[in-house]
Amino acid sequence: MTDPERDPHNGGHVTEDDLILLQYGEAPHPQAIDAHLRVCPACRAAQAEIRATLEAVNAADAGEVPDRAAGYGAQVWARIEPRLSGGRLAWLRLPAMPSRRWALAAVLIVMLLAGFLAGRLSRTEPEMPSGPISQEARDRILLLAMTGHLERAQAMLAEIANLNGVAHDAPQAPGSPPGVDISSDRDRAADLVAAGRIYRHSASRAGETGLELLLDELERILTDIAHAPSEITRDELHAIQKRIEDRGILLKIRAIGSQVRQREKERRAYTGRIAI
Amino acid sequence: MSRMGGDEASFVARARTGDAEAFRVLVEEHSHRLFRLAYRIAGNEQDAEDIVQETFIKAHRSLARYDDRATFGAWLTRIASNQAVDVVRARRRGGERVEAQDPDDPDPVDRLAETDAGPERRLLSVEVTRRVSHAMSRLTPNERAAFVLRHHEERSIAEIGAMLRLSENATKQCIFRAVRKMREALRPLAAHGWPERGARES
Repeated sequence: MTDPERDPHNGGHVTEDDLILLQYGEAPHPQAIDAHLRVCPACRAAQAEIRATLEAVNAADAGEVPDRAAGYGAQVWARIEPRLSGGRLAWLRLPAMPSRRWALAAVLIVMLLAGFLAGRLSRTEPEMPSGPISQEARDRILLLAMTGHLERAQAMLAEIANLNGVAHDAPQAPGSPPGVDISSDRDRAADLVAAGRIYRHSASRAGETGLELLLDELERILTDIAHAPSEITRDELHAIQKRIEDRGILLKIRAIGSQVRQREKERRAYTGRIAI
Repeated sequence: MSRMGGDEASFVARARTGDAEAFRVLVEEHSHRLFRLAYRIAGNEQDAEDIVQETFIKAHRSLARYDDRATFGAWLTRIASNQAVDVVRARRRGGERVEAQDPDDPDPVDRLAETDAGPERRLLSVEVTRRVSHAMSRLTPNERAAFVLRHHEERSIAEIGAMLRLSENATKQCIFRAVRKMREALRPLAAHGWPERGARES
């Protein structure tokens, strides 16, 4: 305490900062501050107010932090254990993610499986094996689902990239920049973010680095759109469009999507040759 | 009750050799505490649960770098605090505000109505709690983390600085600003008798 006005030795009031440190037992000269407090009603009142504030924090906290069940630690372990262990199937296990989204993820996976099986049956291909679904089939389901996801993201970003920033029907106030309603794009972006995370984790575990990086980049831009206001200014729209353009994200989606489709085509050709 | 019997170091050593069962015991030992820490910084259950999981995954990946200079618990606290700061920061970047209270929670008025205090006192208590929660939700991620670590976890300022990678002075300023914001939030209640007379004079 070198500032004379802040130094109790000089008869100045104790600063709020020092009173806070005193409260936490970290004041540099606690005896000097205590001595000042004994003779200074103003500083004593300030100290009492700080103490009451911190007690109020405790009171607010007491009912605020929700309890976890006794088995919470075991639950945490069950959720993270698949991500800690290695092994060939590890990447297919669902990642630790918000439990609110587990339901969505489960629904998504069931839909993917149902869609895949329906497609197989409708093509009058050989009878489905009755055993558990194979590793290859799982890979294909995820790969095909990712292709669809990328196509939806591409379509949405292309729409944003082509928005002209002219206000919708509302008359423009003189001198104010027109707003652009992106509320529907925002909702679509939020859906794509939730699904994209599942695919990104899967790609990561499959060692599909290019796909993972693309999905990560895509997630960032989609998250920004999902959290944007429903109506953005023309400048904000241009900033998003510039980001899409600068990063060449549409081009990358097209390139990766094309690679995925090509791999699927080659696989089918190979499977066909084996069948012959 | 702890399954480690005070011998955490041996469980950590076993976990470092790849013993999954030993790491499982460490996870079960520290999950509750980390959840409370994460909840206080992040402000909601969902993020807090994610933070706990990510903390253990990061710790598992970094076990080789754990050097015994800090206790294992302090090391986990450091990882969890930074993870929580990142989560709050990302959420703020996304334009989200930390909710002071889950709308599904029981109304604090209902909780306090069961006490024996008079109606005015109860109302004041409700308002104090509401204002503190609101002020907490408006702290910056670093202010919130530094304050939680000092106030609730009782970590020293030097420890907090090391955990959050802040200088000692920056850590102090985070804590000062946090307390100041809460004090300012409660100041309007002085006209209604807060803090109580006994507290003012003690």
